Amino acid sequence: MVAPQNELNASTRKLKNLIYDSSVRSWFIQIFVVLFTAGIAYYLFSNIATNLRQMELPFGFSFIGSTAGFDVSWSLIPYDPSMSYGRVYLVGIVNTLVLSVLIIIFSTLLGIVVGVLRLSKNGMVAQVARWYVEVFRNIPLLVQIVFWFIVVFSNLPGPRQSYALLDLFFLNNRGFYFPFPTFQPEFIWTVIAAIPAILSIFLLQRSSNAYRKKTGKRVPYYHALLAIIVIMVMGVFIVSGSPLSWIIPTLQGFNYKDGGFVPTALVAAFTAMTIYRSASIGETVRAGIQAIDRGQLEAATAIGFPPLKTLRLIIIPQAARAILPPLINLWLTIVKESSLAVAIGFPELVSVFMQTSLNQTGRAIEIVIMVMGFYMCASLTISFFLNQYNKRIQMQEG
Amino acid sequence: MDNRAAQNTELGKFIPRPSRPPVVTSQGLVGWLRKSFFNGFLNTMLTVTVFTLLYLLIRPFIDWALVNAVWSASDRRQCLAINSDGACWAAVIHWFNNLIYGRYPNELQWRVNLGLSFGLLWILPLNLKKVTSKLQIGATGVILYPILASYIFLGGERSNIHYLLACTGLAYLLIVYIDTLLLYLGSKKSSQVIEPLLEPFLGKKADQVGFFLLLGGLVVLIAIVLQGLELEHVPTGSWGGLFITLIISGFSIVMALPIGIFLALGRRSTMPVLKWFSIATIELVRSVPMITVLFMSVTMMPLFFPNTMDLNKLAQVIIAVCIFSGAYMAETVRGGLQTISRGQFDAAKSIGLGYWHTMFLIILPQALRTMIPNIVTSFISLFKDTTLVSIIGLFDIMLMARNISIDKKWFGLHSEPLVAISFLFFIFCYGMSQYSQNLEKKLNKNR
Amino acid sequence: MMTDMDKPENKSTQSPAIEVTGLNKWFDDFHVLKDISITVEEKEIIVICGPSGSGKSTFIRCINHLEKYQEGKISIFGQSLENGKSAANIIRNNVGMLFQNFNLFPHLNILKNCTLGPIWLRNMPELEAVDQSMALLEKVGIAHLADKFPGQISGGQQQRVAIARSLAMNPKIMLLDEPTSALDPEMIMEVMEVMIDLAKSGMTMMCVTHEMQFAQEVADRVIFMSEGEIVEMGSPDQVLKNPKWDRTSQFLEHILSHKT
Repeated sequence: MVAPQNELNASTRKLKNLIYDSSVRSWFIQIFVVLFTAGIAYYLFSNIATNLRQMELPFGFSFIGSTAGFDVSWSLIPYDPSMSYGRVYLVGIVNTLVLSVLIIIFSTLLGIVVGVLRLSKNGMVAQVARWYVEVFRNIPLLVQIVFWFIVVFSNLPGPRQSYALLDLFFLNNRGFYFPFPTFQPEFIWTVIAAIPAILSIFLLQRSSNAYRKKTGKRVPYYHALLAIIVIMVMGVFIVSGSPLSWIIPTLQGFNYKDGGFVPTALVAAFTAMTIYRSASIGETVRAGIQAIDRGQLEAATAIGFPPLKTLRLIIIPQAARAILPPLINLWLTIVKESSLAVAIGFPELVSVFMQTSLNQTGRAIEIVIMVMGFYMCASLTISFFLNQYNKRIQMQEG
Repeated sequence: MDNRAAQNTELGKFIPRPSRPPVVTSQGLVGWLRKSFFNGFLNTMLTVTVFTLLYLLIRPFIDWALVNAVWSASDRRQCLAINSDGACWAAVIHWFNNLIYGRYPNELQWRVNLGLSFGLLWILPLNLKKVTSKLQIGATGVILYPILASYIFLGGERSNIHYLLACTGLAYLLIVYIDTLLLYLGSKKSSQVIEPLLEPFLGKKADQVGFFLLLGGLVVLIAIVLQGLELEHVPTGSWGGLFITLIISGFSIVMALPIGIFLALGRRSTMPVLKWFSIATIELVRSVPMITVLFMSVTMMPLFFPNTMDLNKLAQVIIAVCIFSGAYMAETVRGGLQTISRGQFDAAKSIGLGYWHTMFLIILPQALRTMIPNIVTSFISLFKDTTLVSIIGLFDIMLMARNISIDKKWFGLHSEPLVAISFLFFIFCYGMSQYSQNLEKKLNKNR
Repeated sequence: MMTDMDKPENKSTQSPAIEVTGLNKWFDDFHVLKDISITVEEKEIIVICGPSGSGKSTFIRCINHLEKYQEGKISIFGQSLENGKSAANIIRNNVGMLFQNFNLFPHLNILKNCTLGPIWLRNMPELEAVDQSMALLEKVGIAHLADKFPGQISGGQQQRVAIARSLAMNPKIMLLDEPTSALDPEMIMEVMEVMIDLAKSGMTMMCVTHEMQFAQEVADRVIFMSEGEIVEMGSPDQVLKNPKWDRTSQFLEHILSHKT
């Protein structure tokens, strides 16, 4: 047998070699990667420089200040062709956000309904929900968007034969018209009155909670107090002359004027994406509810909670934990997917900036950076908040 | 306590009570019907209401799509004349070839079929239980199949290397099938059959060398036999329809796996340069919509390369989609790697395996098994997302369908093509998702 | 082991705590419980044992309506469990349950797990609920963990929280479904001590368990069930040491040989 002493020396030497080797090796690899990437980058950049020089388009963001000169079919914020490309960028972003937020709100609501229905005890309801999810998830979103736009909403009757609801909302082949509020200066009084009203509702809630903690019972006259506060604000509103008026779209000649308006493209994109996303959100909701251990229900029943209280105190908090992270990711996906509306001509960011502006100015690189920059900011912001939420939950899971 | 032995003789023989059958109205089909659909008044009302609503919605659709539909006509006007309330499927049938093959010449479409069949044939052995060298077949397929397929699809004047490699692909496929056949007949692989002949000369390596000799021989044979075969050139601009949808999504998902593995491993690396490069790439690519990546590839890629190099649109799109799906695949791989317990790494290290050996012999094979359902799901997503290339003017199945409405004969026909491709996508995607669920069940059973 | 002298004197003439008559249950076609009938007096401790699949868990879960049954009558303190709403009230006011998997609410800390019921179901003021719960947690020996979350404490501690949580609702009857089966051997003792204390303090208990030590020490009656029916019922001495049927003796041998 080898004497232990010699073995120890040999192994320490080997160990030293190993450490020495691996760190050298790791540095070597990293330097290699950096050089390799730098080499490729250099090749690409020199090509870009040559090509740009040939096209007489030096790299620079100065074009943002120049006049755009083209019209945008719809914008939430005011815009006209005399404004700059920078304004076009803003218009694109706002339109994207409007579409995304609308879709997020309604697809989440619809998705929760779908998810709960999937778990219904009634076999027919559960099956219908299941096929709803399967059909809308397995057909590409683009096909659905184009379908709704071309087959449904463009085939609606013209303005003179619009579908009308209560003579206030009108749907026709140009788009959707709805009453739009305008506020007179006297409205400021209502706003002023609303501030203490909101504060007092807040205080009422807090004192009610404290009262319940102390005595276990609800504050008496809780609902009455709430009603009084609301009535007082409404009183201010009426006394100051009801300074809120609704502009109702009116048919003048061949089209509707005034009132709020969103184009067919928005309505179609909204419908298609809401339905499409409600299917995946439904599945997320269903999975979150099913993930809750059956034992939780049993324990709650054993303690004596009736179904509604079990739902509110035990099931929903736990379901929310399981559902929130994937749900927020789906919201992020919705913001990215809103770019598909470019296929039906809705003026969101990709359409006005990456298509039209790029074609006009030829500034491919700058525009790509600006557009991708927006999406990256949105993604990183949402991911950041998601990570914070996850960290907080992790601490509790132990 | 010792009384027990004596008392054993006093123990009675216990005869269990017989089971009774339950009452009928709560069991069986009737019971299930009652429980699920007609359980109480409210439930019954709900079932009836939903059923009525469904009927009202579906009946008109069936009338339009089936009952009143026109299946053969020469143009739209004739369709409307025959039955104006029904779908004009005649248009879709007329255009069927274009929907599937794009503008690939009709008489040459057998080449597309042949190429795609070879692809299926390559995948087939991966599903058979007895085949052991699945990884080898898969890896070789990834390298050789695209070469073989591109040769068949493109045709025209190809370099000799291209030709030889394509023949190698064919030869390899042939050997795989011979081996599988031999395996099922109970005997050894083909290389093992000729092994005894070579053993005196080569000793231990006879098996592997035998294989290469066999391969080489077959390549030469095939190359000589097919030498005279002239394949007419079909430029990529004529490719279209379901054909390029399959090419783009298939090629991208296959390339996505190595890219994803590389990025995922890089993300876990202790070397900061690699780590940050991987994280940056993954996060950047995942935070932007696919359409922007497509636009970018079409507008910016010409700038990246000198004027003399001309990349056709299909190649640009494929590169962009590969990188895009690679970044998403990196997250899937990361998830798969996380399911491997630390104990595996420890065991590998204690045996003395280095990093690469550990990864490729121990960790990745296990991780891949758990990842397969996710990979199939990614493929389905990619397959649906390929429709986006229609926005940048590549003639996939969606753009073909939309083009039917500007064809002179079928002017203004929008719904039928869209409904037809929706149906096609649904069948394909739903089928694949059911397959992936079955796969998941099978894989979980084996654990 | 309890002798007649240790038993509390409350042999009352009022209705028995639990009365089960002709209980039958089917899972689809499978006859899971066959004509179970039993009367449990107040403050009685019943231990139910038997092989897996014998229906013992299903049986006690029928008592507090966690399982539905097709035939039979159950009454608690003379009140029959018929109609849905009143049955739920009777159960809530009288019966508590312990589960094999503890089933603590993971999103609430230990204290809130215990105070949830009293605050929301008994409209107890929060301070009072907190006092009551802290006293109970003290009794089971884990008051110092009050602000921890279930995910952060051991199995034995979790089960003791579960006991405190049930006791917070002041039940007179406790059903225990294999409370120690999911615990490490070292932690079984700490939970059993609490269970024994509970038994001695006058709680009516029906306990499904394999821990024969518990049966020997506090049980008034031991029931052996097999394949959905009660095979033997009697004092612990009778059933455990002098069983009447071979089926019982077969099972006991198996259990006792495992223990060593």
